[in-house]
Amino acid sequence: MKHKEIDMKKWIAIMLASAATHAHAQPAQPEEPKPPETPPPVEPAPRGPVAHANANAPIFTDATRDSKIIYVLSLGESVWPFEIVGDWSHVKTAKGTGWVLTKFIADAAPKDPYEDHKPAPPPKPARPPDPRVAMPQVWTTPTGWLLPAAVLYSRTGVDTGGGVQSDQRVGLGDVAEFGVSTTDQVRRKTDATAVAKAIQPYVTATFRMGVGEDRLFDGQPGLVLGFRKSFERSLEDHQTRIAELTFVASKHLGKHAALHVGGTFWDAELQGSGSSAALHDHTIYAVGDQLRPFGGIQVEPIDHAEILVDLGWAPEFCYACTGADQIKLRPELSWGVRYQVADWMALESGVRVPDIGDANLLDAQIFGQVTFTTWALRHAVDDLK
Amino acid sequence: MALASVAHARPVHDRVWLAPTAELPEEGGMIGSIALDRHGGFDLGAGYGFGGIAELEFALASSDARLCEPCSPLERSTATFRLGAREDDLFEGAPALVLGVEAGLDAHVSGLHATDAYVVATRHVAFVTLHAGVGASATGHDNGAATTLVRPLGGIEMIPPAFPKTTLLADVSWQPKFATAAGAMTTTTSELAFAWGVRYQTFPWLAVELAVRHDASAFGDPDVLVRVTGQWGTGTLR
Repeated sequence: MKHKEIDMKKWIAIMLASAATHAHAQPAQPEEPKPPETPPPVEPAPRGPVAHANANAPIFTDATRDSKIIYVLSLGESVWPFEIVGDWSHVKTAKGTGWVLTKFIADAAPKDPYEDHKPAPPPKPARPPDPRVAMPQVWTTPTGWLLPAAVLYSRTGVDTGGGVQSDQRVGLGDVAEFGVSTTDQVRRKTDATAVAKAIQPYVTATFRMGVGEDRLFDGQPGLVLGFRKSFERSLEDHQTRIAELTFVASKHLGKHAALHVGGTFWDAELQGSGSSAALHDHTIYAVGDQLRPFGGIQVEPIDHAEILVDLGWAPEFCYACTGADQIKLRPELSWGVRYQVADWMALESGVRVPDIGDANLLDAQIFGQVTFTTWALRHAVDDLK
Repeated sequence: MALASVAHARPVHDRVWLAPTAELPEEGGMIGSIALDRHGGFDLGAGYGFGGIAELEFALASSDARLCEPCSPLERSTATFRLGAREDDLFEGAPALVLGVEAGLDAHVSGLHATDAYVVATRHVAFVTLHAGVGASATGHDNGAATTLVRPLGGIEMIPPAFPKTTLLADVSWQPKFATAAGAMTTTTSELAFAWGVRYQTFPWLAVELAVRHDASAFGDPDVLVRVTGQWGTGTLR
């Protein structure tokens, strides 16, 4: 029994010692949930256009490889370039600012950082299709139609007689037109029996003004007053000049035909060795020698293809002739087709007989022309308004 | 311009052999031909259709005009403008009608002038096509007066029903003739030429022709010619 008592005492002592040990230790507090770590503040993404790294590219502190590398961009990582110096771009990234070789980023050129925030402009209304241009010229005769304002017109042609013609015009405010051209209509011959040949190039300037069809009253034809004058032309020791005043009316007859009728007042001058004459010299010529009617007709039997015929006049100079034979006005008949290949381009071809009064078939010329019209200048002017 | 496309419409031939027809290329259509004869003479031609109502053709030929004596081919370059109406356009049963003018391109260089103006009508009747017209031919040289002759011209084409790709053809036309004596130009005129032969329409856009040509001044010594004609469309910019 004693042993058991001793064991019991021992056991109780051990128990008491153990309890004392535990009493000295701080009792474990129940764990409180840890507050979440506050993440470091994130720098807001810079404003402006974003570029992206196209490779794992190092960011340097300065625009030189000798400077310190801050970190390395990952492929596709966004950067915001705001400055370019040589081959280097100064960029902002989500982790700071530094320099990177421009070749490692796309869209590196710094742009207006607020560009993306500008309100989008309202959409422009669609431009209506340009109307077809009524041509200011049949073949050799003018029409009573003017080019629309700021519309450019260009016609160039050649013929089997070796002639070249060119005509450039621009419309002025829908009421006038100005142009410069070269023509081979003016001819000369050395004497009365010689074959007449064209004087070319013969440069002329033209100014026309008028009123459009139906502008003043219903059924009113287009009316145009035109003036054409040449620069002095020297050839074979002779100087020649021409001037022409025209008045023409043009009227559409239905949708596919039109008629042009007009009158012309011509002046021409010849000076040179042994020659001196002028149509305005009324000691030689009568006023009636300067006046001539002209006209033309156009018919559109098939869409985009017109048949045109006109009769006009052109002066012929004769160096060795005398009196009123020195300068004569010759009737010129032309017929042909204008084929509208596109709204802005027409191919034209036909036959021209420079002196139909002579009825000389050998004089007949085949001509081919191309005509361009463009509204580009008009559109540019309208867009500026 | 839209890519050129092979024309598949009914083939158009603006000439029988030498005589013009009243057939015009389609809008934007082109006709080209090349011909050779046994003397080494050649013809090159190309025509463009203006809206289906006109044609402008350029040709370089040495097998139509003659420079005599002795007679030899005279190389000429020409331009031809043709304006007309198709069959039945004017009224039902109307023939195709064309007014054409052919002028020399190099006359101011060579001094030899030849201009032709003609009106020709064409009408298809069953398997026969008839061409008939009248032409005025003016010839001259720089230092001489012009000679103008008004003459009839025509041709006939027949497609045997058993051979729809084959055409028998014959025509009568007038070709320029310039005569020299002692090195000087003496006369200019137009000479009758008669040609007959066969055309084989290999494809709708390609024909091969073989013909024999007799000139009035050398009827017993005919010339033999072969020609290839093609046609295609160029489209439009609209």
